Formats: sequence, structure tokens, C-alpha cells
Amino acid sequence: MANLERRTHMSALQLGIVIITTCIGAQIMLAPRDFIADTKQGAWLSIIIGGLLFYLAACLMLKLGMQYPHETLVEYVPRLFGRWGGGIVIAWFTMLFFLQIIEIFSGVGRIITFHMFDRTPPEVVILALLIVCTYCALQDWGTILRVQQIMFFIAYSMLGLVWMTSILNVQPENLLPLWPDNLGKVIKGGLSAWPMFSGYECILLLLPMVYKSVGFVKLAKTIGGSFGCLTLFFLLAIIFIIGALTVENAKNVPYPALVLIRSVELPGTFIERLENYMLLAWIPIVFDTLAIMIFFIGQVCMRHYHYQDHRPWVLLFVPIVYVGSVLLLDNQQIYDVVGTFTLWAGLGFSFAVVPLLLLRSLLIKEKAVTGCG
Amino acid sequence: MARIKCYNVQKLSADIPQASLTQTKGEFKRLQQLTTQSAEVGEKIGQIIAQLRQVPAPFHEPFIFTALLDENEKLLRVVFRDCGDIEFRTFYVANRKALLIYLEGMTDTTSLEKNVIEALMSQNNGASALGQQELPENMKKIAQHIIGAAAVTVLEKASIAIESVMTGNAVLLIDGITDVLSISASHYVKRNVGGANNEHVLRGPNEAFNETLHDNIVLLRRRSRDTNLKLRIFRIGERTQTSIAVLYVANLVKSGLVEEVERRLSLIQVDKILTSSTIEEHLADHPWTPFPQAQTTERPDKILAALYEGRVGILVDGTPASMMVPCTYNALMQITDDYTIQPIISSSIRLMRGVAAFIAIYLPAIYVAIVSYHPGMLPTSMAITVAELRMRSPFPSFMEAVMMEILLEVFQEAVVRMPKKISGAASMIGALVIGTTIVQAGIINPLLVVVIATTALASYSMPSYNFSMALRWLRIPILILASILGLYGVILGVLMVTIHLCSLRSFGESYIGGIFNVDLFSDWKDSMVRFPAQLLKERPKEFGAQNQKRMGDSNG
Repeated sequence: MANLERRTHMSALQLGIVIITTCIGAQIMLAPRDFIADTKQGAWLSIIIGGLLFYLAACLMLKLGMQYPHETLVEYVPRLFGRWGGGIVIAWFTMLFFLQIIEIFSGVGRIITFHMFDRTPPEVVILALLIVCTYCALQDWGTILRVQQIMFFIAYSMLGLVWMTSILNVQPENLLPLWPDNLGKVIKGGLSAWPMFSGYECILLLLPMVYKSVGFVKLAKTIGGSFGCLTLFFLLAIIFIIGALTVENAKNVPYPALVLIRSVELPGTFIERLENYMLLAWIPIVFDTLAIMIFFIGQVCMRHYHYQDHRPWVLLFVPIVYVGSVLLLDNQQIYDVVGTFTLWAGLGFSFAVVPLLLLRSLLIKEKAVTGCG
Repeated sequence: MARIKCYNVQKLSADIPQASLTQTKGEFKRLQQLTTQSAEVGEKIGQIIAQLRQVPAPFHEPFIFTALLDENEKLLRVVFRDCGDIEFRTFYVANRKALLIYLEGMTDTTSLEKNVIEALMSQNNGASALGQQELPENMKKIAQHIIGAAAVTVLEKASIAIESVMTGNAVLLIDGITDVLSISASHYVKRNVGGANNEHVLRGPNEAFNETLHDNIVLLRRRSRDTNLKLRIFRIGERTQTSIAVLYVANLVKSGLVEEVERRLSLIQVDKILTSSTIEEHLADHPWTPFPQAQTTERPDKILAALYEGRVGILVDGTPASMMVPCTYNALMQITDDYTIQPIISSSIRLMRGVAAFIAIYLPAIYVAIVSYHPGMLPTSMAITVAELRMRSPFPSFMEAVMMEILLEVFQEAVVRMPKKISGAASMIGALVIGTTIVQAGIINPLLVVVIATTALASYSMPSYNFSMALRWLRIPILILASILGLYGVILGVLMVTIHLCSLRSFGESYIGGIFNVDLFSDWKDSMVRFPAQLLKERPKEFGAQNQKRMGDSNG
């Protein structure tokens, strides 16, 4: 059959959207409590610092991808670090996505059960969402890209609309003092914002589809725009939570964003229980993060083991994801340990592995040029 | 009294043993056997002769024409045996036997008499067109000098001659000439060009296709004098040999699209094509989806508009329903009236149609989910009213909704299938049963009646009947999800449907993905909304037309 569709191409803007949809996921509900507990009044500054830091990491990834514009990380890493070293980096990369997936599923199971179905086991909630995510991850990239764009425009508008109603409960004095006393904690908080921004690592897999038509500068600008949007989004979330609940209250409630939206009342309208509307908008956002991450795992395995199709790998990972998510449900301590481990693994990958890879690739290229000379 | 001497009468067989009954019976039996055997031998000889005759005929040809008219006639009579409507008209031309074969009822006999029979028989009078008694020795010359018909074709193959007769042409054979002449004289009963039965417009052209392919092509050609509008005709269906026309605009159509359409058409192996939906199913990329994968229309203006967007039109002989591919959600949701009313109004109507499509699938499911799982989302007064209404009904909300859906479907089917005169009565009964009695009987609560009625109206507002059927079909699975997982289930259902629609492709184009594709934002001017005509300078990108500019592109 004639291929009438360009399946291996995407524009810079589409990559920007994919980064936003991958990064904004369950963490907008799950992360604020611990983040506010760590950074207190300086949370807004930590978000900005985090945004800048992770944009820098994304630029390093862009630079690395530019060295190999036709290949993904899976193809060139073994050439840079050898078979075993490359294998470890690929496993690290895959593990990052896997750990985030099981954390998110577990968190979603708890939130949906807690707020929508108190008598339904979270395992059922997780299973239902996992089936839908798997159905999406089994599709080709063209389909997933379209789903991501539809979700970006519809679900994010809905979420933004619902979230903006919480401005009614914001009291600016709760944000004071605006400038934090302990800057060290704020900077550390910037690093601990990684779970919110995580997902931008997908750049290393998607760049070959973009580099065919777009240069580094334009790509860096577009991704800068994405990180700007992400930072603004998280900033609004954190400011509204602190402004409405205060730092003390926010760190003591399980899901401050939902508690905040539940407290909003719209006088003179028929809309009640806004947290249900918020959750309805949030589920598609979580779904697109999870679906694309499962797809990435399938893609990494497919490329690493030289398969033609990513689908067997997706189907292989699905039961593991389910078991992992269910295991995290029962024990908060394990959940926290996994969260901390994922945070450091993510930071290590972005700020240690990627620079090392870039350095190695530049050295190899320089050596090749010198050798030729 | 003289005494009569009585002789002792004996059986004849006593004197003549050969005359015994038993022996005669035996002889008769032998005679019968011989007769049967001789018939079989005759049949076998016939078969051998037929086989011998077929030997020189190429593969797929029933026989070849020879110079002996009697032989040709015999063979043709065998082919057309038991076809009472095939006429064999024998006459003489310049002392040579001629035979005209045509299908009665599909051929204009007056034209044949005047242009063929009279013209040929005038050769017998000596005042021939060639000024000589001798008839030309080949059909080409006869066609050029004697036959007065507008379209004639010299044929050599028997299969083509037979097909020509079956399509309403007359075939002329003359003794001593191996070629035959196909004379175009088809004339048959057909429906006149009328208004569209299923696609009414308020301020647009009203002509619609009929069941005749040639008339339909004329309707298109009359609207466009563009030589780049190309047409290829295929015959599909082993027995029906239905004509299928593939139309496209040569300098606009996406490269590879026509070839792909033709490739898929060439793969169709069926005995009959009676409706265009058979072709549609064979062209579909996803045969199991409920969504239509070719846009159907009976309006020539719609086909032309699609062709000038770079799409391919497919007309099928015998049906007014024509198709356009690729087919996308945007294309299905547009109608001619969108372009005959003010752009701002048509934009609002288009957006409303999108909302209606959503309501048509999800409204009953949302009702069941809210009533069963999330009544807290309703304002308190409304929640109390709903609870009161539901108390009267003995069924759970899911069962109520399913019963109403079934009733609605039965009602719709009854109205569609019944004769027009009775369908009014059926509507009345349906309105009474569904609208009033069922509520009064306490079987269904009135709020659900409102919900289902709104859903039905929303599905009726879809421009494509097939698309609205798909929406109707999806209601039940989504209802089941809602009954199990409440609004969470509804959202998961929405996601599943979205993924499915994004995964569907019609000739490489995404079914729904183009709507929010950031690379195709310029298409918004004429998709979800409609901009004024002077701003629609570019063709939709999603169909990949070779030239995106609507104006100044006709030089190619």
C-alpha cells in the first residue's frame, strides 16, 4: 500500500507540545504538598529556578541530539560508552520512565478512589486507566502525536478554566513574605521540582524526527517556550495553593490542589463540587503523560533489541507496570523511597549522564577531525 | 345349420418366434439404449466441435469470429440462449446476409432502423454510397461510408461484442467479414435528474445524481469546463460488470492518491456491484470501525468541491450515492448550506454540530454517571428533584437508559422502513409511547426522556447519516462504562473514542487528527469554523493538494 502519510516527521512546535503534555501530568496533584513543605514561601522562586535548570538540561540534550541528527539515544550511546556502558545508560533512561509511570498510576489510583469512588478498589481504577493507556501506546507515533495535540487543546483548556476559579479564594497576604530567608533551600527546591518538569528526556528519542527540518536555534527557542509555559503553569498552581490555603495548611493536606478547588464556591451558578470537574480535566492529562511514557519504553526496547515493532514490548511492560503500581499503593514508605530514588536518578541523568555523553561525543568528533588532519 | 369349424388359434409368437412380446420388449429396450447412446455421442461430438472451435480462441474469450456468418450466429445464439430479450435481426445487404443483434428495451430501434438497416439495405437498390454494388470488405469502410450512427466501433473480440450488446449497443455482423461493428444506440428507461433525496439545501443547487453514470458525469462536466478534470472508468463485478468512474483534478490531486484508489479498486474480486457501499467497504482502511471511511453524496456540487480540494471522487453506475476519498471528520461535518449563509452564522452552526456530535454519544452516559455515582455534582434542588423522579421508576438508571435507547432505535427503524403514509401514524404512536405513556406508567423517569430525546435530536443533526449511525452505535458501550465507573468511565470512553478516531486513516489522512494539528492550523479557516470567501485563498492542507492556492493555479 502506498504510504500517503509522512509518519517520521514532526515540527518544532509539535515537539514543544509533546514536551508540555509529557511533563504536565499527575504531579500537579501529587507533588505540591512535599514541594511546599520543602520550599515554603519561596516555592514560586524554586519553580522559576527549576524551570531554568531543566531548560538548561533540555538544551544539553538538544546539543547532544544535534551530534547525531538521524539517531536516537538508543543508537548512539553504545558507540560512545561501549556495549555495557551504553546498556547501563539505556537501562537508566528506561528505568526513569518506568518509575515515573508506576508512581503516577499509584497516585492516580489513590486520588480517584479518594475523591470519586470511595468504595472502589484503586486496583480497578488503575487497571481501567492502564487499558486505555496501553491502547494508545500500541498505536503508531502519528496517532499518538494527534492524541497529544487534541488533549493539549481540550484538556488543558478545561483544566486551566477550572483552576482559574480558585483565584476567588486566593488571599495575597498568605504569600508573604515573598522573598524567602533561606536561599539555599530555595535553590535545592529548584532541583526538587524535577518530578513536575520530568518527561523532557523524551527529547533524546524524538529529535531525529525534528532535526530533519529544523535547526538547533529554532528548536531551542521553541523548547524554551514550552519550558516557559510549564513554569508559568506550575507557578500559578503553587501561588494559588499557597495564596488560598497558606503554607502550613498546604503541607498538611494530602492533595492541596484538590482541597483548594473543593473549597471554591461559585455563587449564582449551578456548578457544584468543582473538584469533580477538575479531576475530569486532569484524567486526560494524566492519560497522555502515561500513554506517551509507555510508548517511549516500547520504543527504547524496540530499538535496543532491533525489533521492527514496539507493540510486543509495550504488552510485555503492561503487567509489570500494573504490579509495580499496585505494590506502591499499599505502602507509603516504599512510595516515598521510590519517589526520592526517581528524583536523584532523574537529576543524575540530566546533569551527569547527558553532559558526559555530550563531552564524549565532542571528544570523539574532535579526535576524528584531528586524525583526518 | 352349417357348423363352423373352429380352428385352434395359437399365438403369433408360436409361428414367428421373433414376434414374442418379451423379445419385442427387449428389442425396444435395446433401441432405447441405442437412442440414448447416440444422443450422448451427438452431445460429445458437439462438445468436441465446440472445443475444437475454442482452440484458437484466446484465454477468456468464448470463441472467435469467423467469416461464416451462420457459424457466428450459432455461437452467439448459444451464448444468448434463454435470453428472450435479445433480438437477432437478419437481412440482406448486396446479396450478403447480415445480422443485427441488440437488447430489446435498452436499444433505440428507431435509430437502428434509420441509421443502420435502411442505410445498409439501400445498397441492394444499386444507389449505394460508394456508387457500386459491391459491399466493402471490411467493417471500417462500412462504418465510414454507410452507417449513419454517431458512435461506432469495430470489434474483433467476441467477449467485447457480447458486453457491448449487454450495455445496450447493437452489434452488426456481415457474412464474409470477420470483424463486427458495435453501434452505439443505447436508450433505456431511467430516472430523470431530480432533487437530492437525502441532502436538502436551502440556498444551493438542487440537482442531484440519478442512477445513470453518464448522466452523473454530465452533471459534473456541465458545472466545470476544466480540462484538468480527469475521468477513468473501470468495470468491476465479474457478472454485473458495473462501471465505476474515478474522477480527479490532474494538477491538484495528491500524488499517489489516484494510483492508490485504482490499486484498491483493481483488488476488488466480487461477482456483483449493486451499491456504492460495496466499493466503499473494499476501499476502507479499517473494515471493523463503525465510522464511515468514504464521504457519500448525491450532489454534483459537493463532488466538484471535493475534487478541487485535491480529493478523488468515485461514481458508481446504478446508484446516485457517490463517494469522495480521503474522508475526514471535517469533511463529514460540512454541508453546502454552510457556504450559502453568513460566515459567522455558519461558523456557529459548525461549532454547534461538533457539540451535537459529543451529545449524541455521551449525554445518556453522563446522565447515568451523575445520577448513579455523582449526584453531588448537581445543584441541591435539582438533585432532590431527580431523586424524586427516580423513585417512581423501579429500574436502575442504566437499565432505564438502555430501555429508552432500545425503544428509540426500534422507533427510528419503524419510521424509516415503513411506507410514508403509515410512518406518520408510527410517529404519533412513538411520540405517545415514548413521550407520555411510558412516563405515566412509571417505567421511565421524565428527565431521562428529555435526555434521550436531546440525544436523538443531536444525532439527527449530523450531515452524514452513516456518521450519525456510528455515533448511535457508540452510545451503548459508553453507557456500560458509565454504569461501571461513573464519570471516570465516561472520560475513559472519551479517550478510547479519541484514540480510535486518531488511529483511523483514510488514504493516509487522519480521520480526526487534523482538527487540532498545529501544522494544519491554516485549515481552521474552513473546518471547525468558516471564514468569509475572500479569505479562503488556500486549499485545506490536510488533503495534500499539489497546489495550495485556490486562485492562479490553473496553468498546470
